[in-house]
Amino acid sequence: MSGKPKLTYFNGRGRMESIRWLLAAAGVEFEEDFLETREQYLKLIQDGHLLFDQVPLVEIDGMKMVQTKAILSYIAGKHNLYGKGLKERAFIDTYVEGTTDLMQMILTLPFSPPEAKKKNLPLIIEKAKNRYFPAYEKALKQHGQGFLVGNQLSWADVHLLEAILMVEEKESTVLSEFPLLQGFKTRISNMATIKKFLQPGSQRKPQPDDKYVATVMKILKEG
Amino acid sequence: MKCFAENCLRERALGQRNCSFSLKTGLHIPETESFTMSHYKLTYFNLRGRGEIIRYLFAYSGIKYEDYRIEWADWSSIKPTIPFGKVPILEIDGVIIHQSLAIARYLAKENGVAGKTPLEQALVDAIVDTIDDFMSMLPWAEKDHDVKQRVFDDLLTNTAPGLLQDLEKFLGNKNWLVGESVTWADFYWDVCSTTLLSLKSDLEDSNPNIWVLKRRVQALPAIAAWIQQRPKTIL
Repeated sequence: MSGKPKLTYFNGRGRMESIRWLLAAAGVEFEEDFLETREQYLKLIQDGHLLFDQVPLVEIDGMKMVQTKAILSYIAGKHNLYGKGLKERAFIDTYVEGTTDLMQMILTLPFSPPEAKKKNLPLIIEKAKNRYFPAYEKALKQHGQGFLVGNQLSWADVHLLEAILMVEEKESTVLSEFPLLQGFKTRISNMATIKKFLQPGSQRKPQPDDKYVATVMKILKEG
Repeated sequence: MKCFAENCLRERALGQRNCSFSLKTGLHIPETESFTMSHYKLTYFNLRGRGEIIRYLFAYSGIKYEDYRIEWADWSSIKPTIPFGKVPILEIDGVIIHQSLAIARYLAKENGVAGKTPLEQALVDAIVDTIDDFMSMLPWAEKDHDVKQRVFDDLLTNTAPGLLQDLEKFLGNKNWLVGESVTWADFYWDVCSTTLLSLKSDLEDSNPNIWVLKRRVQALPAIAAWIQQRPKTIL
């Protein structure tokens, strides 16, 4: 028992990536168990480790946690990344829902058929540029401090940075109309724990490729 | 601070109820009901800034303290109530000490990390002041963004390397900047270099030994625990 949280998921981003980001931002070291075969997955279910027969699974503080949002909420609360008080928490929850909606679109893209992929990507970029990034640019402007909420790093900031980088991977100039988001990206990226996570050799996962998609489909026996 | 036992006039260390003599020999009654620990309250902004060296010393010594972080909105009403109008301040049982380095030096001395001899203490002070000289050159409060950026860039590009080279030379192959064990000079190096790196990350590319020292400080269990726990702020 190392005391470190243990993450069980496929060897890729998926729904676990936000959890990796948040643990890294909090400076918490974690271990990973990668699902490579359907047998591993079925055994987890058989042994009763997955409450809803789904991953992500994070074993942390004696709990076998499932449901991404619950896990993120717990980590944020535990590591002083959930703001001070109920109102700051409400803002953080709001912002995180927005970035979740945006990242969800990109997350599911590799699993859609090729024609859908081709059609949806430009729509996602358009949503990022016309709905989400303007909202966060406005939030930064109104709050007038370096962070989205309060005066210290929160889950909302980490999630937004993850979302920005994810969209930029699809279109590198996406922040060109958003100066505050550009500054935000630089500032947050330079914070010690985040910087470490962004360096090669960290537990950050690369973009999903065909091999990853095939592995996930095989394990979950979908399609 | 005096040992709490009856008729004992020996000094006791901060955080101990009795003098070490009585602890070793067991010749005194260890506790009385009226015993109370000193109360420490640090007042600063929600930043690492000039407060962080003090927080490091509390973390390292294990002494409990109130880490009071002022909200910007409250500063203008709090400022006039503080003797010299500047933070950090440390209140110890109602006595206010100002000046971050004076506070740090006091805590360091009380906890054996100020340097083992007067000579070492002088060297520790010199290193701290050297680092602090540079940090104080940066125009943190400059209102003109362009001027601020220009001066920051100039100092980080043209002046910082010289400081880092000098620190590297001073450290040499030693484990700690001064003496055989960690001192608050090492803490101050970690505190300040964290901010320097966040402003210019390639400073880490040269002068390897000072960066090894930084990791060594960060690996001290009490410091590692504090770093993980502390609010994450830009400065």
